[in-house]
Amino acid sequence: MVQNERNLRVLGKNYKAVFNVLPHPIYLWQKVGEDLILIDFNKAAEVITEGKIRNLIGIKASEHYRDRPKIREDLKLCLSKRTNISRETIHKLVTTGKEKILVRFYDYIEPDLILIHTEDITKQKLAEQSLKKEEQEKSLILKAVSDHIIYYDTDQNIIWANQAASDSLNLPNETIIGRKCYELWQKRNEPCENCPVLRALETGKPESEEMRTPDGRVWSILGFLVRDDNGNIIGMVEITRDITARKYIEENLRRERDILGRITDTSPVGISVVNKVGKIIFANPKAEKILGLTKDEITQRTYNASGWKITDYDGNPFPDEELPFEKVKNTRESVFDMRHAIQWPNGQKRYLSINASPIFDENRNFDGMVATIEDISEKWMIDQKLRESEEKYRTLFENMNAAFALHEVIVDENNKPVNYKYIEANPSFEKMTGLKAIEIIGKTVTEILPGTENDPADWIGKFGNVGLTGVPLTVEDYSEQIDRWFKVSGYSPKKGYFAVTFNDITERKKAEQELIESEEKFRKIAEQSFMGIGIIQDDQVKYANKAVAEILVYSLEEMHTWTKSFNITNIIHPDDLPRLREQRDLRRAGEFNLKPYVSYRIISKSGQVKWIDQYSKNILYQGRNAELISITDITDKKIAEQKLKESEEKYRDMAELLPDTIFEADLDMNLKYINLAGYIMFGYSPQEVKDGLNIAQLLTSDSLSKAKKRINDISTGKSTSLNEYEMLKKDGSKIYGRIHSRPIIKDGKINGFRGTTTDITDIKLAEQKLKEKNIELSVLNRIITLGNESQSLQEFLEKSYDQVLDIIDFDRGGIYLYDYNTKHNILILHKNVHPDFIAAVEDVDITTGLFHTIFDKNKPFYIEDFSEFIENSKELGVYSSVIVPLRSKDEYVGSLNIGSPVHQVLFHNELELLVAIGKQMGIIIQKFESEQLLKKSEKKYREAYNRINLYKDLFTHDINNIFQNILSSNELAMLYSNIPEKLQDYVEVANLIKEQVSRGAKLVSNVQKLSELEEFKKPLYSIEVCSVLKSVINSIKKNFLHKQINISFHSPEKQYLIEANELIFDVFEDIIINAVKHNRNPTIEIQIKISKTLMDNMKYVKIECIDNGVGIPDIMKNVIFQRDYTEDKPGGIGLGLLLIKRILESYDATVKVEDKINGDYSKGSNFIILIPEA
Amino acid sequence: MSLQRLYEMILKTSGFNVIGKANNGEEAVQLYDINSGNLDIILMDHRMPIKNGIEATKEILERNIRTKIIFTSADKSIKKLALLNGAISFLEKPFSFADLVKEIEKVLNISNSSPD
Repeated sequence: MVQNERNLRVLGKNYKAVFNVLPHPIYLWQKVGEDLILIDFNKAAEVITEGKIRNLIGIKASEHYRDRPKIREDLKLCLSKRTNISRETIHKLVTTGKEKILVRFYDYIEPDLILIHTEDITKQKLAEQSLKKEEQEKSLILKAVSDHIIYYDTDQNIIWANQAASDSLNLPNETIIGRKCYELWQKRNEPCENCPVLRALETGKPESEEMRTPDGRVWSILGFLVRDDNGNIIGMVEITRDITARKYIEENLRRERDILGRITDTSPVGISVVNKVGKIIFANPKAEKILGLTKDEITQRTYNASGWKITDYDGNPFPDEELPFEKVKNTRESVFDMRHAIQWPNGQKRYLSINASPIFDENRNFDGMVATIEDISEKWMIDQKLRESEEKYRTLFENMNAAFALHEVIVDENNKPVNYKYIEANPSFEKMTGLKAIEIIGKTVTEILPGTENDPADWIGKFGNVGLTGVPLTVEDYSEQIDRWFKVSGYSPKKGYFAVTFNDITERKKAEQELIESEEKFRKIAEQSFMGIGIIQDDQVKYANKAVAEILVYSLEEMHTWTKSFNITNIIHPDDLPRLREQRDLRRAGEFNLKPYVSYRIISKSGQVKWIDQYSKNILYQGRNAELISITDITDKKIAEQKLKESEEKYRDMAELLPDTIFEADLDMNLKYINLAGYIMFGYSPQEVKDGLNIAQLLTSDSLSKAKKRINDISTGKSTSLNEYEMLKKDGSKIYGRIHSRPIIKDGKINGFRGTTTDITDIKLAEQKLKEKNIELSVLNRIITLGNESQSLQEFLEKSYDQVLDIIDFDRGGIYLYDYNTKHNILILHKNVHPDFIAAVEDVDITTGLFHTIFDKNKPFYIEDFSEFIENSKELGVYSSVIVPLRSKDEYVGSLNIGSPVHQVLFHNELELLVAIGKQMGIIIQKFESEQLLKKSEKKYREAYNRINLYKDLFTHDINNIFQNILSSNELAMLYSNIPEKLQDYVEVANLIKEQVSRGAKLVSNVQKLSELEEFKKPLYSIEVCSVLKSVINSIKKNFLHKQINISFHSPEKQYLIEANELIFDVFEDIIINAVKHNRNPTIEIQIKISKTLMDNMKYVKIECIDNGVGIPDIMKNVIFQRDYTEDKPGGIGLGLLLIKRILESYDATVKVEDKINGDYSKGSNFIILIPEA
Repeated sequence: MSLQRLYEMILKTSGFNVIGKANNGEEAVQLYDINSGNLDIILMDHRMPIKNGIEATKEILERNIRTKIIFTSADKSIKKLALLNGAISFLEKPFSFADLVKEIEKVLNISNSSPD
């Protein structure tokens, strides 16, 4: 029992656990009286009521469901009926107030329990409602779609069909439910073949099919299965779409595509499509053929790919912008017949003509281009040829010598030609007829040439028939009116037209006549010719003149009767016959290099062997090959030749024995013969000459040009003379030959030359030495001449240096002269030498250093590389140099230096010449130096002589003058001494005597001073000018008290120091006294100005003495300081100013005189003295 | 006192009239041009500025070859040249007053005894 209880408790506990884990809320009610009381609930109930249910334990159902009569009724019913009830309600939870859709189950548990459990189907209900709504919408959609949607059961009975399906049958929807589709649509009693719905049933997969219904419509049918959640087939769906229209369009499209494909495949032109970026995306077979590439290759390219090698037809580059794609793209318009060329991979050029149109997308944007490509290469080439041909024939037409005219025939009603009209005529027609094309074209012949219709020649009839029948006609006719022959040819290029060409054949006619006459003439000549002339055919004489008969001693009749067994070959010498036959055969075979003549022997009828020279030419005689021969009997000539040969041999022997070279050569200077002396002279062997030796090999290049000119002279027949050549032996050594040559004339033409060569090497070398000596003498003579002609040593040096540079390949350098005092070489002149180089070498101490070491003053010194001595000499323009001593007798006077900017080699003879020049120049230099010394000495003596003359003149003239004045004064004084009223004059005269004595004393003083000046130089020292001048002024004022003298003195500075001596006092005094003496004014005005000045960078003190005296005319201004005692014509006056000048010269000072007022000397003078500042 | 003044005094003392004095050869020619109809004799020195006596003599004689010029100089070497150029006589310095007068009178007498 306990166990049972325990078991029951355990069991009860287990059920309770189960009770609690059940997902649905469960409430347990127990019948208490007439009511039910809540006694338990599970966890789910606690959850759904959010725990509030716990407070309701023990509540009565009548209370709890007070407002739920339905529930109360269901509870009652459940109890009373003792059954289970379920009810779906929308229930608002009492506990939470939330509205839920619940399915409430009332389970009756005996005896008094009711288990209420509820299932919340709110979500499910909402889903169902949503599904339902969705289903309704879907149903509406299905009804609305135009496709037929039919749902079958597995027996293919229609369960559902949309409106479109039933509408397609014009039946109410409900009437088709339960029907079979094949009955309804296909009017069949059994399923259609290939029914996609049945196939889907078989395959388990969706199947589709297109089917055509009897009404002609086409359907696209999709069949698939409908399965339940377990995958069981519960039905089948068929969706059928009326694709009749689409099918029609597709069909048409397919047909169009098919047609288009066929068109493109069979198109005679290439078709290509280019996309909007220029890539070719389609090409038809013809395009492949035209472009020379496969479709794949084409579609790899762009329209302008370099592989196309696009050019214009003439091969010039074709710009991209001119290509059809660019044109179409840019213009959006079609283009036509755009032409360019491409090149196939095999290099073949193709000429294309392209039409292209743009392709636009739906927005009318450019989307590419379709192009048709036509290969017009052949056509273009034909056109080209046609153009060329047309041009050619046009040119021919225009330029043909024959006259040409095209005419249209005019016929009458009987189709008989009655006139013709000019259609075209060429210039020759105009020329021959005198009719201008422009005037006749379009007109009839009767308009142009009236009367032609009556011409007996019947031009209209004859040539009209040519135009009508097409039968050509050629006539030759003579026109008496114009004395000309014409050949007229007519033909018909087209029915109803005839063209004529006609030539003026007058010349031909004349030529034919002349030919006949010529033939006759030449026949006569042949008959009368001394040369045998004949025609040989098949070894038979077809023609021969008398001369042939005479040479062969056979009569003409005999020769004409010769047969095959006896013919021309029988009289040819057997030894020569094979050669002649061979030549004849070769000639017939077309060998053109054969000589046209041949010599051979014949045996005359008399048995005499004769030598014949025969000239042959192949001709056609009576339509067959024959030989025209001309023969000459040269037997006598042959005999003479033999004799000549013997003679030649004799002379050849003689030539071989001669000591001079004898030679023969052709005009190309190839030696043909040379004697033994020649081999010896030039060192070549006979074999070498035989193998080919040209005279050019025996001549130096200079001589070769000369020889060529000479040969040219020979070949043009100019006179010949001896010529000397520089020649070369085989071993390269040089020899000299004197050649005397003459032309070799053969057959009247100069074809070479022969001559003798004498070895004149020894003579030539002697001459050369003589020539060199002559050059040396000539140069030395020139140097001597320059020495005589030059006015100065410098001039001589410059001219002789130029002379030296003229004869030698050096172009620069200079001349040093030796200074005995300093023992230095001083650079006197230089030519083309860099200033830096001059600076480095202008003064050379020749007693020490490099120069002393290297230079022997007796020999020339040649330095190939001067940089050994002056490091940068090459940069300064001196590479090689020669130093040549200038010597006079045994004395070194300087050096001649010659340089070159490039490496130079001097030969011994050149050095010898330079030494000779150096010696000659040295002599002349010393001569100039001696002359210079002599001139100095001469000058010194001349000056001494002049001084003597001066003193002599002073005594003979000045002293006598003084004496004269004293004498005259004395006589006058004596005269006046007894005349009291002449007392004043007496005094005046006495003063004059005194004055003349002073003058004499002054003269003596001046002579003394002048003498001293010229004999020795007085020492100079610093003197202050102002004090001297003031002293002079005081002295003069004292000496000329009787005269009104104003002397002003201007001196900006207090002191002016000059380099002078005590004679400066005399200078100033004489100048101021002159200003006083030579003045006629009552008041003598004298200004003394002192200043400083700069002249030639030298500082001077300037002293000006300005007076108002009588002045000095311009003509005297330059001579007042001279006393010209060197000539017969005395011009100077006095000694004072000469002395002034000499004194100032001893100070290196100057003096000059100017007008006080410029241009008017009579207003006074200005003596200006410049003395170097101390 | 100038030398010209001295000679003027001497000549006047001897009864001659001095109608002009020149300081150089050029002035001498100009004076001649002014007084050519009034003068009997020209006393010509040699060494003068601008133009010497020989040059002045030549120019005057080119105007009238019969003009009488007595040439005086301390340089006797010039005598031949003066006479060759037309001077009628030459007086070498120093000469006396009497020599001068005598020479003048001589020249005048020659002139007076000439056929025309």
